Amino acid sequence: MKTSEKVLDRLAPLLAFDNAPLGLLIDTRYEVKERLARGGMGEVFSAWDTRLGRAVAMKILAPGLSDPEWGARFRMEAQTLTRLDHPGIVPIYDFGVLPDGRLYYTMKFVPGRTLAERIEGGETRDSLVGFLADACDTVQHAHDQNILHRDLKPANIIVDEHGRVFVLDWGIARLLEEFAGGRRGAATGAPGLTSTGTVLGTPEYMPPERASGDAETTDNRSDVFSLGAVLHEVLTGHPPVSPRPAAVPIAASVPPDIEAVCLRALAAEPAFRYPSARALGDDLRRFLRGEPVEARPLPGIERLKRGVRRHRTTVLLLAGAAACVLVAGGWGIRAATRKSDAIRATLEDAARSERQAKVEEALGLLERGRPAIDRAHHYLYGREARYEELVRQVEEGRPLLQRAVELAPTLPLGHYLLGRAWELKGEWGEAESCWRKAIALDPNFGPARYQLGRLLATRSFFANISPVGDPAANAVEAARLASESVAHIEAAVREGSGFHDAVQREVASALLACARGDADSFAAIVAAGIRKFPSADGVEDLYWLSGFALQPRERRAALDRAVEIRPKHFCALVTRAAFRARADELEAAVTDYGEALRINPRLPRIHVFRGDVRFRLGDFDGALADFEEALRLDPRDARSYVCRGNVRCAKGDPGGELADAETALGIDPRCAEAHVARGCARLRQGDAAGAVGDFDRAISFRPGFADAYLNRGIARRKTGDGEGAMKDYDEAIRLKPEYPRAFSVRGAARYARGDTAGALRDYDEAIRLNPRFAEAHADRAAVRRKMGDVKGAIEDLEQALRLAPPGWPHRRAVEDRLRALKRGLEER
Amino acid sequence: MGDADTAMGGCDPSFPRTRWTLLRSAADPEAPDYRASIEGLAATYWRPVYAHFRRKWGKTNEDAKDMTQEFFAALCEKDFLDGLSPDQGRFRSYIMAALDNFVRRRHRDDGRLKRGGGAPRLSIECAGIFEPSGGDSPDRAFLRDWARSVLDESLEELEARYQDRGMEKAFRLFRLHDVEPEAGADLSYAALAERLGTTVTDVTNLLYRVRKELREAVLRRVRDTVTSEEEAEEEMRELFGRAPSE
Repeated sequence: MKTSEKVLDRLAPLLAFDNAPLGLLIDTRYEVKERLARGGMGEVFSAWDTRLGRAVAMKILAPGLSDPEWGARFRMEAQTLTRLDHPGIVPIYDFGVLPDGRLYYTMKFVPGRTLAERIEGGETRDSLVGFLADACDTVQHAHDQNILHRDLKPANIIVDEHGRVFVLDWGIARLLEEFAGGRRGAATGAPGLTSTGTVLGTPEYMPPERASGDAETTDNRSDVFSLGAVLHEVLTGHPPVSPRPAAVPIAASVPPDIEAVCLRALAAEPAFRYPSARALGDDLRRFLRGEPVEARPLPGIERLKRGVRRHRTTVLLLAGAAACVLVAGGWGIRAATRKSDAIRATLEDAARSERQAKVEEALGLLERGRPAIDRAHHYLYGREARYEELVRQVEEGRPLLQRAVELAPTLPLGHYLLGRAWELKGEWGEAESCWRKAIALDPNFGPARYQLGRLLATRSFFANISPVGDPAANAVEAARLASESVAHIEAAVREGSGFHDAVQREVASALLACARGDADSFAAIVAAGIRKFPSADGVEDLYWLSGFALQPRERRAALDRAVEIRPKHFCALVTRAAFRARADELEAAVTDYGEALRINPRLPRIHVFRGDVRFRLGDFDGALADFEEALRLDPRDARSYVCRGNVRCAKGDPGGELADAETALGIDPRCAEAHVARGCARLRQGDAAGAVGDFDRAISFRPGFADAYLNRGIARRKTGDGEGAMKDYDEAIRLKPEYPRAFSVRGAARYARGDTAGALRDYDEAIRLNPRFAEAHADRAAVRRKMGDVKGAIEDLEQALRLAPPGWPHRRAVEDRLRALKRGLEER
Repeated sequence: MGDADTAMGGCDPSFPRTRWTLLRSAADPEAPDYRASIEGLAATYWRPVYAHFRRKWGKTNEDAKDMTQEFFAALCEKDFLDGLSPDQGRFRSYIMAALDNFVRRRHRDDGRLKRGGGAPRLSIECAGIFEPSGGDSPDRAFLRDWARSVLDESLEELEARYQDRGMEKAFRLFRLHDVEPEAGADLSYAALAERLGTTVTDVTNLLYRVRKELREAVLRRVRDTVTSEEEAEEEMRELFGRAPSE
């Protein structure tokens, strides 16, 4: 091509828009340079004032608006600006007429970026909130002069390089008294500017009273609403969906205080909004200083509960009710490269031929490396596929891809393919970082967006089903991952070219609906997808996903079908295992986890999951091996140490338990589970006072931790604090009403105090909750016997012996008691 | 405000029957009109297609050439256009979407895509087309290549036209000031007027005129790839407006 990039850059401004008076010398003074912006009413250009030798901004009435009404409005805007003498208002210089009759005015040129660009560019939330607070002051100044802006939006707020904020585009501003008497347009002597009934402004930022054309209720609080809509965009990346349901959290990731500010500004009823722009600005600054805001936040627990309730079945989803996505992440940022600098251009030319050679070579390597990756992917459809062979196949291509990425680090394709290689090898961290690099280089690279979104969705799901750690914290982590996943998959769907085939697109839509918490569309998309592509490659993913959409019985069939199509479907295997573990089908769960680990043994979390099930099965050696492996893969995971400590203790090694708890606390001193583990170990070693201290800390780091209360109660009882112990048991039961062990422990305490009836009630409840609870049966036998129910006591002891695992330490004692009771019964 | 509405870009019922509208409405891909339209469009736009294969899909020079031929050949098959969704109003958006699908289909079919009988013959001369883009995404690079292609042809047309009219001076002025300014030269209107032996007013008028004609020439080509005047202006903005990242 003859036209170089430079020529394109030079000529592009001449071509982008029509009727541009570019290059014209206006009124022998202003040379029009470049178009800066285009609005409904006019266009803004940069121009050079040849007389004073300075840059100015020139606003020209849009071509086609020759109607006198528009001319009057344009004049009024200029007059409004003259009236508003404020540092946040761009001062006006001159007013005139172009050779073609259009009106123009010139004003101070503000080099900077609009709030819209800054939001898009991923600037930090706090700096954007600060700019918005300044804009509130400017709007307040206008309100003080009885002027409403009526078209506030991110594109109309500009911030210069020194951080000074200007509110632009007063084209549809109006005097307050026009509204006050309901005399539309009459008070100022200006023509009836809305006489045609047109609603002016931008719908997304418009308050309900203006959208419905209700001039009576339009006042300064209408601008407050628009500022609230801008804040919404700052927080979530998009303006509010209209109409906004009241008091619905706007996004899981938004702090409750600033969310409260936003919701108050956006109240549908003007009376509930901030009374003035200044009040809104003040609350924004309070938030920035970390002070309590005046708007009342939604209570945190309520938010969480709401999220959990909605997503109980579709576990991926804990994203929180609104599940709006904070898209102000960093991927929109790309350094602006201006090629005007001559020196730089020369250097670039010299570097270009070398770079071109490298890119050529890299492309060749990618072409050679890719088939191995595709082959490895298809290998997973084989029933006998094994990890070692998979790795061998991937390694035929991965080094070539790696080399390509080193040669040409700016090629997104290279990072993407390398990411796929790592994913197949089970190295998800590496894969994630590769795809993030590809996206940073090319935000529109759909394939990388899709793969990353899918990976994050899977991680979110794993966080959700995790049997270890604080369930609330796991849910928050899952929500965070799900909402990031939505952002990526949305981008992939929007971009459209990330899909190998139609099935993949269905999978993407399903994941989206799932992560947004839209259970109905999710089920519909999955079902329709399966109907449409019953035997296509990739349909197993839809079967996997339908595992979340369906009722338990159908769910099993769907997951079975996914695994039947692709026997090495890692996610489907893990999902089936998790559901089986929940349904107490422990052996089957271990088998599924085993299959999953056979094809990807590299994720520590899955080892922890299997270890947990094996522990429940009483397979302590197996569990120990799993936790050891998890620790080998990730030696910095405090919770895996706690898990291993539990197994060691169960195997009769309390010293090992204590050592593991100490290691876990060395890694994460705030790990509540580790404090509980150390407390239990200390308790077993007779240090009840030390144990109480550990449980105190566990409760302070994780309030609501029922295990910590229960164990503290046990420790307190040992220190002689019977009252404190009873309070702790009650609290543990209040926090976790389905906690059989807590009932059984409290039952023992009540029995010891002589409260036999209370003790019996507790044991009954413990056994109702877990009919396989051997100790509870054994203990209830004692209570029943004391109450004279010898037959019931014998039944309980027999049941305890039936249920207890082979190495049960109490077996001997229970057998003796049973014999004694039976003998007594016979003697009688 | 009826006038204003129309002027601000209402639908234009008199939009001419262009190559792209013809392709979209054609019933018979064997019709001579149909092939001629594809050939006409291919002559202008094969370069960005070729560069995209190289850049986004990492094809070698030879492969990319083959694929470019095959791609336009495939365009001659009726079923290829059948996949066109009605919202892909513009030729460029359609090509964009079709390109990546084409590559995938080709990967899947293992290169056994059949060639249409009426394939346009492109003389593919690739020197200088494919430059690694300095950090641009492949899609952004495609857009720029597309813009360069249409600008290339329009500049050529304009130069020839000014020569025919005996107005080489005007085009030279335009070249000097707007297209390829000499490094370090004084490009003020006064200096240019002196250099070309004319007045400052003449300089500003001539520049204004050539620029206007260039835009018209580009717009004419762009119209060939869209279905309404509104889309044509939109396409102009997308091709030549500033990238959001700048």
